[in-house]
Amino acid sequence: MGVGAVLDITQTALLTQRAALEVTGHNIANAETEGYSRQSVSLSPRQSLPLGRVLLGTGVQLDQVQRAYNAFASMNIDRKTSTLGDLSARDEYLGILQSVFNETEDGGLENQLSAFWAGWQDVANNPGGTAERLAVVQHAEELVSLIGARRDQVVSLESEVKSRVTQEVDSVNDMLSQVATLNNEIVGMEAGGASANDLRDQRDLLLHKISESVGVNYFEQPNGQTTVFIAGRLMVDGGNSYELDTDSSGGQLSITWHGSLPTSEDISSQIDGGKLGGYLTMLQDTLPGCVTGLDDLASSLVFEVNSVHSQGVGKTALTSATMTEIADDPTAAMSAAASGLDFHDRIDDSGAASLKVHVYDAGGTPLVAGGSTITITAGMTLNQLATAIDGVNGLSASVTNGRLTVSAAAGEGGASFAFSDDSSHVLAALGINTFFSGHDAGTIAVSATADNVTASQVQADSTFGLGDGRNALAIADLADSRLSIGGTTQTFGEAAGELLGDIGVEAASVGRQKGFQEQMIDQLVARRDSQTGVSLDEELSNMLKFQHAYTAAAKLLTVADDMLKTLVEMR
Amino acid sequence: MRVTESIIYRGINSNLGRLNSDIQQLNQQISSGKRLLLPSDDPVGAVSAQAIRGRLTAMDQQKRNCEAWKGWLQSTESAMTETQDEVIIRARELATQMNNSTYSASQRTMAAEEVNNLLEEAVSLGNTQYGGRYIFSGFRDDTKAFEATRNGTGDITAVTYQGDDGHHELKLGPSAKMESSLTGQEAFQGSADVFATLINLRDALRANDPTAIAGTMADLQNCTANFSAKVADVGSKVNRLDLRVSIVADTKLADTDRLSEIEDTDMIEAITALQAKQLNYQAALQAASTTQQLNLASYL
Repeated sequence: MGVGAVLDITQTALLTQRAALEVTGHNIANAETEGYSRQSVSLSPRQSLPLGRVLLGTGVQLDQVQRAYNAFASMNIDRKTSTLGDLSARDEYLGILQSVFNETEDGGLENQLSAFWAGWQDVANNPGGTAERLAVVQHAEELVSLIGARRDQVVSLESEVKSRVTQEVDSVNDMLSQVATLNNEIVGMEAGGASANDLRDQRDLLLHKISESVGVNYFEQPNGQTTVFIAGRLMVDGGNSYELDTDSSGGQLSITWHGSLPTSEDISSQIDGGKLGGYLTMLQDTLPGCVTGLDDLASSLVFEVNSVHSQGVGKTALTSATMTEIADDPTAAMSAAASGLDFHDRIDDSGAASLKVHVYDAGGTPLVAGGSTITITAGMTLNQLATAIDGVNGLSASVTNGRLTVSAAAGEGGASFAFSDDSSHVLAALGINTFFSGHDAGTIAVSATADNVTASQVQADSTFGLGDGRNALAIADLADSRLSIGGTTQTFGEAAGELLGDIGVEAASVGRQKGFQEQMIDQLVARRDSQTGVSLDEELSNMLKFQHAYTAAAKLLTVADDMLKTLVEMR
Repeated sequence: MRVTESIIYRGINSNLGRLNSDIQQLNQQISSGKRLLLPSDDPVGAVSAQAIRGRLTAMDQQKRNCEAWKGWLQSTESAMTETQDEVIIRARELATQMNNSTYSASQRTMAAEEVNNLLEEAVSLGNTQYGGRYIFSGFRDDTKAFEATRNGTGDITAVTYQGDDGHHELKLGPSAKMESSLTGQEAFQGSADVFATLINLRDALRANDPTAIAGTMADLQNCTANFSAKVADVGSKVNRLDLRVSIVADTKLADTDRLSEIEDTDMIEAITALQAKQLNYQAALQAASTTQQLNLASYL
């Protein structure tokens, strides 16, 4: 032991305090780095050496540089972040959906419906008036284009969300492979016992970002590697990562996983939370719900209006009528799905239902006062119906390319014809003498011309008057009728209101939850950061502390130097 | 708690952000005048607002219906009143007068000519049009209600009804309908046929036959009774339409008020809230800038 020992101590002190200052500098430099955790040095005295009967210290040593980290707080934040990601994704698209369905303006669906029904009352007030007839067709065109536009907007939102899902899946896969790479690097760097603080921070940040995208579970293995699961499926195992895939082959977009297995499985229903979870909820529930709501409304509108319309008569009787629907198989029962008729299930072919057809000569006089009854027999096919109508004196009927055409047969003395009393709904289902064509929000269209708008009804003696507005009134009455729309008994107005209400309620609830979740995360992050974040004041005071220690050690060096000089200069 | 700079910055950011979005929302509510900007602002209110809008359109239509048919009913009323006052009452006076044995054949012939004119007048009143539609023709309102058959000298020998038995209806409300027309048969050929009676009276006067003249008196009496009853009925319908229009106007006013209550911004409340938020925002900015200055670095 000698002065050399003092020099040794001085050297450890200088090196250690400089290292501590470096850590402080690293902290200050990364004060605003995302995901950075505060690092600190832990120092201990070096092993003492005996000098005679006493033990003398040999200086200071740097044991490790550790990071302030709270695994529980981080995982808790990640979990809440997943929920927030889900809510944010839905909030964004519900916002867009709300502006699509925004009825707080005058052009809303319910208002257009009211204008449409009002148009029928105008026709009823003056059935012979061309202006009123044109107006109701115009109202119908506006209504139809509004319903169609709504549906188109929802469908285009759907495809936008789908592309977001694909992007999100790509980014999750990318981050998963980075986690696997970091797993390897961390194990490599920590082989000597040191802690790879910055790499661990990076890995935590990646896991946090994955949480934002999708609900994720992870835990650290004893060797320092993190194992990651999504939807209960293994995604990162040590240095290996597996990918999520998207599959839209079934028309629906699904998320699949196959891991190390040869075949993929659909895990869409198990994906929970994160933006992906939110997008999937939109794709599986919200958006299809909007489309179904619009489709149900349009389908009921088409059928109910057509049911009444098809039993009326326009400005003049018909000379020829062709169905707007197409039967895939005219030899199948019209009430069976095989017929390919969209409203096949609405046809009553119990044998008790029938319709009446009235044929007029060139002078407008009925050939048979009271008309001819055509009974819709059980399992009647379109071809059989054509034969039955063809059998009526003054009419000819045939089926071409799945479409029934009924015409007045001049050879049999018929010049025009009209329908009434269709208790079987077959005319509405086929689209004969109907107002609308189509069967849902995407296909609904106006098929009647102003003159064909059936404001009137045939009287018991088969005659009809131009001033008769009973049929128009019967259609206007649909406005206040409670009908089965989408399985619920309600009016058309209520159905339109429900569409709006459902979106409004969902958006309001998601918005509220999102606000709540954000505040909660703010608090959790503040609590975590109070442990792991960098405080500049603290770092500055540490800096002073280490600086002074360094200065003092340097002073010690001078003293040791003086001591050596004293020894050397002794004579 | 140990407070780091990032906690402070994040706090400042999220608080200012929240205040900003509140201020933006209030600003929009004030400048647009609408409290309900999106359905999610108040889903229940948005749905009722839409239902009210639909109802307002329906009520406008009810008013239009009432106005459209009021004119029709008034034409009906005036055609029938005129027939009663100008035609039937005058015919009764003539019949009563000429029944008296003091009148000569030539005086009765002159009276017959007057009755003939009354008959022509009655046919023309029976063919009254409103808006180009024959009001007494039932549903066949594009054809004349009554067609007169004339003999070689141009005199009416018979009047036939050409319309049908259809009754127009109008929609007064969701479930209320009202018949708004009389067929020519009901109005002119009810318990006694006005035209046939006038033809009989004219012919009896021409024939100078007091017994036949007396024979028309009972029919004329029946015509009067029928017309009085029908005119009263039509008159009460006109009143019902007037009443309906005023009810609709009241309901519309109430619904418009309700709509405004649901949708419109309460300006006083919104402006007060905006001022409070602005104050809050300024205070937050002040606090943030003060916090920035608290830093050990400035003292080293």
